[in-house]
Amino acid sequence: MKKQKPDNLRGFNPFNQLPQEIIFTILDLLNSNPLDIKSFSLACKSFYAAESKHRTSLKPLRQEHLPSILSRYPNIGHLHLTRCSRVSDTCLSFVSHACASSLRSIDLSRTHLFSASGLLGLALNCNNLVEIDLSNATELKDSAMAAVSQAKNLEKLWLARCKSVTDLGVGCVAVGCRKLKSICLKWCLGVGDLGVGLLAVKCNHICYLDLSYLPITSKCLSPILKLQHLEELVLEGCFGIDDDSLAVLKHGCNSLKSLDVSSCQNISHNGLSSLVSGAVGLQQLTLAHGSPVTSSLADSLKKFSMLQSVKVDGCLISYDGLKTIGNWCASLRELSLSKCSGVTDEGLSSIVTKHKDLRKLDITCCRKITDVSISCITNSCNSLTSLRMESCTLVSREAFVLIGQRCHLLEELDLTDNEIDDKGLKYISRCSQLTNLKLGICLNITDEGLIHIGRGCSKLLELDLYRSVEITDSGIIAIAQGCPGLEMINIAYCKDITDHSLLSLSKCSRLKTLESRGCSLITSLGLTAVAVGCKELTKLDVKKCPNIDDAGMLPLAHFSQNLRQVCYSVLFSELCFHCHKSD
Amino acid sequence: MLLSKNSALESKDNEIFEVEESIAIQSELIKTMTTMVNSKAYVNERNQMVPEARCRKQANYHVEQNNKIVDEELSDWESKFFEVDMDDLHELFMAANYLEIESLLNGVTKRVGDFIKACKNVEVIRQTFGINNDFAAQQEEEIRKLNSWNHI
Repeated sequence: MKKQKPDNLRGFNPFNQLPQEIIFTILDLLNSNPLDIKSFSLACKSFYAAESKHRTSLKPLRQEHLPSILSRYPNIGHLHLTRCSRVSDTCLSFVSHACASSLRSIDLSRTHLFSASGLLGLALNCNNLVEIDLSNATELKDSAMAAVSQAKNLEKLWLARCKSVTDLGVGCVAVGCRKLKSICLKWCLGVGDLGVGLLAVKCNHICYLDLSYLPITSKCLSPILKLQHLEELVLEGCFGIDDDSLAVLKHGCNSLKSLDVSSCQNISHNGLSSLVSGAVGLQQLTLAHGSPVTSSLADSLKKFSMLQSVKVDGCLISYDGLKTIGNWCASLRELSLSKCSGVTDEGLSSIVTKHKDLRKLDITCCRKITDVSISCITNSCNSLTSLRMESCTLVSREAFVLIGQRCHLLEELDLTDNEIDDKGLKYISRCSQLTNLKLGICLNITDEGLIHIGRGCSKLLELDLYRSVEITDSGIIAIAQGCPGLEMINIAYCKDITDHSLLSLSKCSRLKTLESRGCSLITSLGLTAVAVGCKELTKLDVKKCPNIDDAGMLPLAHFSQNLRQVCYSVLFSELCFHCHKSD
Repeated sequence: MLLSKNSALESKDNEIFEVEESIAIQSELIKTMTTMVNSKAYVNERNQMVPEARCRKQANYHVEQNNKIVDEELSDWESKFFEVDMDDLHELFMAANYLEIESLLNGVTKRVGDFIKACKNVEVIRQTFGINNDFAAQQEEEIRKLNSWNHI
């Protein structure tokens, strides 16, 4: 049916008649690629104006650009200054006036130069500021905390590694920011029981508290456990807390859902019992690198019926301990036994047969397990979405067939340093939901296996083939063709890879990371193809590729506007630099 | 199951066609009018923007949408429905906006978003949507520069 639109209307912008909310909805849909939004803003004045009003989040590269950027964008709520390594007080003052009440969160981690006066300006002028990240500000002193305490609506404060802050500073924050809900004091070595105790007493709304590596003792735990809304408590590396001092705790925390006591060597099952007493809603427990997991410890956790996730990485674990975990009333969703010595077929089987709802299982470096365990796991836990079994070297090739046959919901699979062969990959290619596949140091796989993966796993996003030296171009081409959404590929030291692979990878328009270190046959030609085709390339490693020269770097500079990091060998030295500007 | 009432809708081109009331009220505009006027709603003088083809398209859209129960079938049908050229898409946009039909609007917005994502650069966007570049050359250059400095 012929439309009667006159030709002269072709020149006018049809979008001008649409309300702004609709343009904003379209912009929301473009959020996945910044280049699309930039193109949109260049199209015409009304698009430019719409995009300027729509943007609420900004991550500028240099502080010098802030005045022009902030005058273009009046509605900035989230400002990430992590890429500006030096942000002065003057700059912060400008930000506080330009963004004023629209600013809700500011990220100053990895930035330095600013001090208390800049922070004071932010706190006073930006009355809607609810989130500040000051991690890594090692020079910030208590005066800066006094400034932060003026941000009366603050809900989230990150102070990781602010080692010059003391109890006094934290006390100021506690008194001034009464609405605080989340606070991280990891590695703030100047803060102890006094500061933490004050926080617990004054800020009743705290639900997330990270006190990792602080020189605190059980003294501050008393007021902490009284917090009515505390859900997540992280006490990693708190050496000052031990069983004896925990024994005197009079009450537990009813609201606690997640507890992390990794690397707390002085807490055994007795202390743990005191910590989690009353926490009927406990869902997540991390005991990594701690005391051995014995049947007594497992027994003390038997009653937590809501427990979903348990991580005991790096702990010595006995058969009795494993068996007792099997007898829990909770049905676990996530279990990590990574690098635990003492995990045997018997013990592992006794757990997985009882916890059939497991979604995530990590048995990295459980070197004693064999096919028996894999058979048991795949029989019981058909809902597995993530399986990590790096270096389970006693598992034979046949076992991987079982994984492909029985666990079709797998999204993440780590088979680094295993005996898997092409037949195994053929069956694993049936796991059509796979997004993340690690096949590093798998010496028995060849292109044939990869061709199967290319056919079956169209949703693949990340593929690691580090040092899987039998792989050649035809395997990579099959992957590039079959997995168009590929975002990361590691082909380091796959010495037979040539430019043909890079040419086919250049069709994967969403590729963000390419690691091709030690692929000595690739040249600047291949690299150019990738630079032109993969506009979202962010990270590139081409060390030890002697045929890549300056000619290869130039197209990157021109085309790869998103590039953040390039690792490149120059004659006899190796260079790794971070890009700050695209030309 | 009771027979639902039919509403008669009149378009700008003076064509009257009947749709089931339950479908007609998917449009927020018609819904408001129906509650004010009773079961027969006629939207003639207000409906200056809605030529007949568009109305028919909407009616079809909703009938089909209600008929398709299985999700996959629906998404297949939807992608075919929106595979139209820019002129048609623009009309659908206008109609969906005027008649305030949320599901239709979502579909069209997504399609426009996909169009933009498929465009390699700004020139292609301008061509595809028939947009006039009203920037002065220097302005455009400045914006390009600023864009390249921001990894937003």
